[in-house]
Amino acid sequence: MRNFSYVMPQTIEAASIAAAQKNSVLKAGGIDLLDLMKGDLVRPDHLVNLLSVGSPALREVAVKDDGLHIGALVTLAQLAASSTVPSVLAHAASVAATPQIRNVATVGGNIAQRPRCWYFRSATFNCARKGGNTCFAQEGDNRYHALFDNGDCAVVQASSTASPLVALGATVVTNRRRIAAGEFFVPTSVDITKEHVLGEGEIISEIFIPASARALKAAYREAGERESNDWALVSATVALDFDGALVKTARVVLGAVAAVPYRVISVEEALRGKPITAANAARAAEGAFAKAKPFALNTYKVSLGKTILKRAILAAAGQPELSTAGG
Amino acid sequence: MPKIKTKVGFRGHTKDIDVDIPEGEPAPWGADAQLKHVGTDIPRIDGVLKVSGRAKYTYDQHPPGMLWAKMLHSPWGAAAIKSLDVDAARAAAGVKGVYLFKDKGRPLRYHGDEILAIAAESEEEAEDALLAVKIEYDRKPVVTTVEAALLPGAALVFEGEQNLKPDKPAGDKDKVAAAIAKADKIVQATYTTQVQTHSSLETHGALAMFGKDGTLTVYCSTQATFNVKGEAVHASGLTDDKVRVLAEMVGGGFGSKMSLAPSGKAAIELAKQTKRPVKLMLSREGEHLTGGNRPSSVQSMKAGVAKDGKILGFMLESHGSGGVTGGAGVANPVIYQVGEKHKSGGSVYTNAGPAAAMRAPGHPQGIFALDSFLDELAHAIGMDPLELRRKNTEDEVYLAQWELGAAKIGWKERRNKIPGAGAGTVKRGIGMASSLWRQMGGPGTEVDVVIHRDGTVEAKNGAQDIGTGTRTLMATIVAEELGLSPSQIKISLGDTRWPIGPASGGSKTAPSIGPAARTGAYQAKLKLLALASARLKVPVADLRMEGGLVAGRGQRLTFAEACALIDKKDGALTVRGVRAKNYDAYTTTSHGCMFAEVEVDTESGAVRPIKLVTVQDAGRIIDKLLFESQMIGGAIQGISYTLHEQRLLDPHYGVQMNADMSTYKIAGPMEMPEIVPIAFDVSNAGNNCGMMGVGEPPNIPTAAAIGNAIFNATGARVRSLPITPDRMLAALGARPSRRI
Repeated sequence: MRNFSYVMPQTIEAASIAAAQKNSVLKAGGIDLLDLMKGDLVRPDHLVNLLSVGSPALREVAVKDDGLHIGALVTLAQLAASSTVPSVLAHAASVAATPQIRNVATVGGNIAQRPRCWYFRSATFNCARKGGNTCFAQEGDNRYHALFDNGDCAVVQASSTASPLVALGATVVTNRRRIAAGEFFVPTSVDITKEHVLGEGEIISEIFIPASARALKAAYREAGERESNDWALVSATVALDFDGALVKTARVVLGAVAAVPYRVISVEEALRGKPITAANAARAAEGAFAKAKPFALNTYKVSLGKTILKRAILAAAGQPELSTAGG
Repeated sequence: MPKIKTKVGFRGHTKDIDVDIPEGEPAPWGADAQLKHVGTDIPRIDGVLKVSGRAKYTYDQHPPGMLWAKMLHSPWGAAAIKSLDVDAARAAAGVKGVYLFKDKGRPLRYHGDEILAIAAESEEEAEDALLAVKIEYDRKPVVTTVEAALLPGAALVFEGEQNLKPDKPAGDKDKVAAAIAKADKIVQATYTTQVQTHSSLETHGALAMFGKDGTLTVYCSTQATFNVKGEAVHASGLTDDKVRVLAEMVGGGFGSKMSLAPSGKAAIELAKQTKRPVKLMLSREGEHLTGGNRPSSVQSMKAGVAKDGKILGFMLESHGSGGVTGGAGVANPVIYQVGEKHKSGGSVYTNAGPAAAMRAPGHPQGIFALDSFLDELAHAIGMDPLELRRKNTEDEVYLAQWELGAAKIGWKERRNKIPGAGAGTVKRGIGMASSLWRQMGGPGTEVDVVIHRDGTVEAKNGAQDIGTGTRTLMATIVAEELGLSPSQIKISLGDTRWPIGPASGGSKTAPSIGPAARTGAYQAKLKLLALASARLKVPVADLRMEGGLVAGRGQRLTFAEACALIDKKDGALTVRGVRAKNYDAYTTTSHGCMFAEVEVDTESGAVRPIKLVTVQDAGRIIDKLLFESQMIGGAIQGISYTLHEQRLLDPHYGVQMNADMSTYKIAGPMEMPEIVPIAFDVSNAGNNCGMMGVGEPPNIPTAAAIGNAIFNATGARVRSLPITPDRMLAALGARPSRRI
């Protein structure tokens, strides 16, 4: 790890000024950043530690009339243990990484983390996302890579809280503006060198979840190779607003299948006005992957994704996800 | 040589045999021996040191003036060094020395191939200096798999040498063909296994210090202090008496730490260059890349089986790759009689890090294929797989262990009679597999047993305890012989100043050191009894040492009183126990089996082991806790091998994509099933403790047992490891005409 100056601002304003200096990076929990620095992928001259900002609001979950205000430095462990945040978000936070990491990782850092693609993470490969000419995953080992919008860069969104936040209609509040969670993440069709829209010196102060989200029935489901300390192979978040037994509106967001939390509008529309049944859920899940373009080694993610999405839909509606009958 | 009669065997199957005992040796503990400590649960005597962080590993050594060294590895699977300039690195802050493994023009044959090492005042400065090395590479084409390396026109790993190193075929092909022709069913299948890296928690490395007195001291994370000493003598140019190697504690050793290794060599060279102590421990990435691995395998099997379950003939063609090293054969131990046999194949070079012996080399991959295949044979003739195994062995230990394991897992009641017949999305099934190992230890090991005048007792050997509990075993055996408790015995290990000891390979440490410790304790006891006999006026033959007393014919001394009789001038009785040759035994093999119950989510491909019952014998059990610890550890590492671990190389660049602990996936706490160890005690003779080694065999049968349980649960056979969701889903999709 190369030398850097360590900045400990007392206020968000001071942090913003420090972060606007040339070659500065912001550090919250530091989980992702320190890995990147050890791998020599990020070489800051100035490391601005947000944890030195004293504001209690950054570390609290506040319930107000307009909705839920989650401080950007709230840890994943706090989210997981919170009885006030929507259970879909608490659940997604609870299955990320390890207890040790969840105790330190912040929600702001979690949604702003960089991709886990091993070509991106390897100093040996100057890949397209790092400014090179090649996406090595296209012809390489792409077992964990994207199914959608993957032609130029095949990274996947690794944050487990990102999809629930998009599904809940959350807003990312910064020191400069309010950004709908769905607009926060940058798809590969727009820019393959960045994952989010934050500008220099722009700092997330809170995540806001509107009061209207309280009426949603939502669930998060993921599949992984391990339960201990692993990223999802694919995840699905489904948030349903019911009118009686019929779906009024649906939000369907897939994780680990594209560079961004991947909303499947066609499925959201297909679910509208219908009851949730096992058959409907299976049909919707089938349709969600119609446009998937798997690589040589990740075709399994299509069938896995269908299963996980079907289960998330059923779980959101409070219906059994597994069959106990039949061979 | 005195001939004695001793009782051997296991519960319900004992017999008396005559054995010739070498001179000076105690009689072996027979099946009817009444023992106070041996065979009971003795907690590790260094357990508190370890869990409290006070145990000192090589990594923890920080002598004054020490420099930190870091290694530069090849970033590519195959390349030549086009240019190399270390001037800027040499001039970087804190840098004191540079050691080149390879200079300009030299070939690099795998990702991780050692290029150079730099020593600096701090770890950070050494790392920064690596970034200042100016080096250019000529990248070359790579081969990363057995299949690719065997294609015509494949890139050669070594110039002018074929990638395939064929093994000498064994057996008569024609006889096998004739035998198979008589079979009722002929079955063929091909199995593949992955490369598993050792991933020891303490990476390879050493601290080298030259003394002003012309000596060299090396702390090394090693399984073989005396091997390392020999290499350190060679590397330093010093004489044998000037070199000392220490390994007080070793943070993991599954077979990859048998030598000084390039890291230790560089530490010595840099210490020589800088005249300062130098410590070089591999990075986690370096450990994955160069620290050794279990080779891959591609095993094609063909056999003919009769309707009654008898296997008539068996053919195996096996190729494996240990990267730039050979030794990628698979083991097919004779657990089962398979009739006429033919075996062919070979090791295949690929552009990948070197293989190293790994916990039962060749066995987990060999047994995964063999025991999976036996289930396929059983399925082909509609026979219970356990019944088919019974038809092809006469070994009474296996038969007894299978019965125990089957009862414990619920083979009769819980196993699906028709594979995959269970209802629902998530299905359960049961499977089993077996193992065989041969290790009774042997000569070449000596243990000093010292009884001090103040009543303290020491036992010393220069070999290392790699975490298996050698210290505790020695203390237990010495305590048993002297009638003391294990906590009273001070054990010194891991220092080549002490007597010669074994390299920890093949599970031979315990059965080599244990009997030597007993011989030493026995002979020291005789000396102490002679002193007590003179004081008590009771013949030695009538004196016993037990419960901290020396007693006989109504006379007694406490152990401390007896020790006070030791000559003041000597201060202690010292006896060197020399490990005798092995003698006649009940069996020279140890047996094991594992029964697994798993749950398979047939929609997601997730496999969850529910319960593993592991049964193992290895002669007499000295410490039941340690024995079970090896069994449980073997099962855990086996689960990890079966379901998770695999080294992944980019096929075009030969770069390992998962050389870290987050993407090289090792089973964690959430993956653990209930593990039931059944330590199976066999009174064996063979050596004075009747001991065999148990470090390796419990790791062997897990993959096959889980694979067979998966088939029983789902009717889908996965013939490739690891059984990740993608492979499980593919196998489920390939099932003939069954709906999920």
